[in-house]
Amino acid sequence: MKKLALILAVTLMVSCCAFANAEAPVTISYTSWALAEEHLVPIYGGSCDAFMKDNPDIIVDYSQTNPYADYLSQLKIAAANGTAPYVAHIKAEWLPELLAMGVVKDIKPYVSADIVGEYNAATVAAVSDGDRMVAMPWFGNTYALYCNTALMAQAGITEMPATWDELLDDAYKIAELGDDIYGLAIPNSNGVEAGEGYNILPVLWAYGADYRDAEGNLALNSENAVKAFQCIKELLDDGVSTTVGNSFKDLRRLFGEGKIGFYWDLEATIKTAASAAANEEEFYANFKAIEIPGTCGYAINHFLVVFNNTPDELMPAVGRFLDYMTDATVIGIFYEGGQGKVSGRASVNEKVFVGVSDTSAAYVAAMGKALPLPIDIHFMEAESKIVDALTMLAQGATAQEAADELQATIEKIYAE
Amino acid sequence: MTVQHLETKQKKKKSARARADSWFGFALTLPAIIVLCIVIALPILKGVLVSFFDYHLQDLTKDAFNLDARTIGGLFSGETALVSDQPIVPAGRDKGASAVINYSWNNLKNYKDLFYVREGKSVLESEFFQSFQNTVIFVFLTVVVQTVIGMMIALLLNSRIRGRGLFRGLLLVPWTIPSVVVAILWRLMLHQEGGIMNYALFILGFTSTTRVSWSSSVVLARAAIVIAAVWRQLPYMMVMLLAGLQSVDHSLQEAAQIDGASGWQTFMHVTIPSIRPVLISAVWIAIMSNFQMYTIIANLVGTGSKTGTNTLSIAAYQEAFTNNDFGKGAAIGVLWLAVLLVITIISNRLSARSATDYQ
Repeated sequence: MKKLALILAVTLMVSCCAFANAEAPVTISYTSWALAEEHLVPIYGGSCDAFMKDNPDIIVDYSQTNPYADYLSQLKIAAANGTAPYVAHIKAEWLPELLAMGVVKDIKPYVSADIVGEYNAATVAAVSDGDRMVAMPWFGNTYALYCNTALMAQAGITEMPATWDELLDDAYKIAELGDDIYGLAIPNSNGVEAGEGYNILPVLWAYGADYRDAEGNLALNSENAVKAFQCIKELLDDGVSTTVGNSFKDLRRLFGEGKIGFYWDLEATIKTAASAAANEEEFYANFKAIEIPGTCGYAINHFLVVFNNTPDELMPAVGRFLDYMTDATVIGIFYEGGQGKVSGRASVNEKVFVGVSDTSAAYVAAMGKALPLPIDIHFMEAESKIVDALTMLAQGATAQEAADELQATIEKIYAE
Repeated sequence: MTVQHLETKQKKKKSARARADSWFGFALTLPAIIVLCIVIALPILKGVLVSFFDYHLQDLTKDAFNLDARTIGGLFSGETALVSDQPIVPAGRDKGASAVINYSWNNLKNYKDLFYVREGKSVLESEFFQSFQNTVIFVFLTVVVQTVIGMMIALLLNSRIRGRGLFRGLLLVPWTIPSVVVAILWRLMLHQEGGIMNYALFILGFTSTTRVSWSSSVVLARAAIVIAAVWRQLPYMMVMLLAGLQSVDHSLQEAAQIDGASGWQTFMHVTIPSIRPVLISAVWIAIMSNFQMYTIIANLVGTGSKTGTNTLSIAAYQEAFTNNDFGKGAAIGVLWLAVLLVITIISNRLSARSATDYQ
């Protein structure tokens, strides 16, 4: 009897020890504005689900989110208060503000050096702050020209435009088809939606202008920049482009309805435009995406950052999560979802973008030529002033007036 | 014991009871006062404080004051200042605080910036005056239009018309819709491409095209936000005025009519004075709520500064949450508060005088 009791006691102790040693899964939190959009949850949340499936010892809580319009401001406030989700999806242009706030954690010791080594030097520099690695490069996307081939045919255009001047000529021909038909649309919702200011960079680049000159000085009223603004003004005055009050969302709807010949947009939003069409099949039959002729798109780079409030003991798990998110599995999920996200890792792209459609191929090619945004701490504020310049042009200001006002306003922002 | 002595004793008792009642009343209101201090007074005071300092996102977690013994002691010995014009790095923790107030003083830069103009331009073209002017125009037009139309509808509903209850119910619907939905609804209705209002105006012959861009001109953009705000707030004005009209003593109106007063004269000299307290309260509340309007403006015409719709609320939001300059955002708020305080004082005096006139 004593022996039996001893055996039972030993068995009980061994079981208890074994139970205590079985580690409970750790939980890390992650957020993205895309999680606030129902149709994107299977892609962005799905990536986390795939990670959890392959890493059962880590739970990713992706329940916290904010819509895009409020995302950055809410994220900054949460980060400043130390209550942000541990990992956040950000756009590259937001990183300088987060760095200035001092809320971002060094991830260098926790991510795979081999993976980081696959990115080009410019990308690594963009996520570095001295010796620290302050963000994980995730993916990039860029803009290509949406073309409505049915409108092109009606206007007697038989070939895709190959230069900026050809694009403008074709746009004018299409605009002549009717009062409610636009040749080349440029969005301006007057600030209802963000990102419409830097959307005119391809026009500046088409005229050899840029946000800054070779010496690094603001150059928004240079001779070439004024030519670019003059082009936009003529498009507005001649009814070739939509005017103030039309956001990107409006342009997607109008393109879907067959009222726009050309405008540049993301691969991920083709579906949105298609959903506005009376007949989706017909839409896709008349849709073509090409690289923007005579200029190029701007690269929107997306990063993952880790905030200071992340406990150190969770950092190894966070590092595994960051590595996984940049891998072919996740980029493949994005590709399958029609998101047009291209990795900065050649090995990932080689695995994912095999035998892709003409449309995806156009975006991959456009990504190769896309120029980076002139990101700095004041860029987002300056961007909203470019929108004001577009509104001025629509209200009748000359290109020179709009450019001078823009230059002076942004100079003051930087001077402060 | 004399009668006088008894009276004095009774008075003392009463006064003791009154004092006890007064303390009891104070004790009952104390929790509410504490809550109000925490959620209203303290944030206002902090807003006023930070409007004089550099205050950005990274300062959010800083304590406002260094109140440790060393810093306070240093204040008297001259080792520490009340404020510092240098950026203060975690003061009061490791190396000892250099100033009692834990933010960097910026020589009223937040206020100066609001009145900054480029050479050759008038101060009236400064950021603050532009936003203030836009706010005043928006508030004036919105309140006047909603008061006039609200009064007309209230008079109609106060008369004996058929289906009065149904109309009253239907007219309340816009009030139940969230402002952001109202803004999006009107944005679609006024949209250049396919907006139903553009179509209606064209059919009625007011415009020569169905494709009017309401955001491309200052006048149209202002008209758009006034229309949407009036549509949203009209039920409130109508309900308030209707309540006032229903409390008017009909015998006064009948007496005026017997004395030969016309309908207009009766309305102006009997009805309006009778509902004056309600009218003033309703107008005052409308002024206040429109001074703070953000949602409809930002979602209907956007936050751009060239459409004449950049009001004080939009400017404060932009500075604080887009540019992360909470100090400048707070400075706008402080000036805005000062303007509203002046209007409140004037309104209260007018209101008190009108009440006396009526009595």
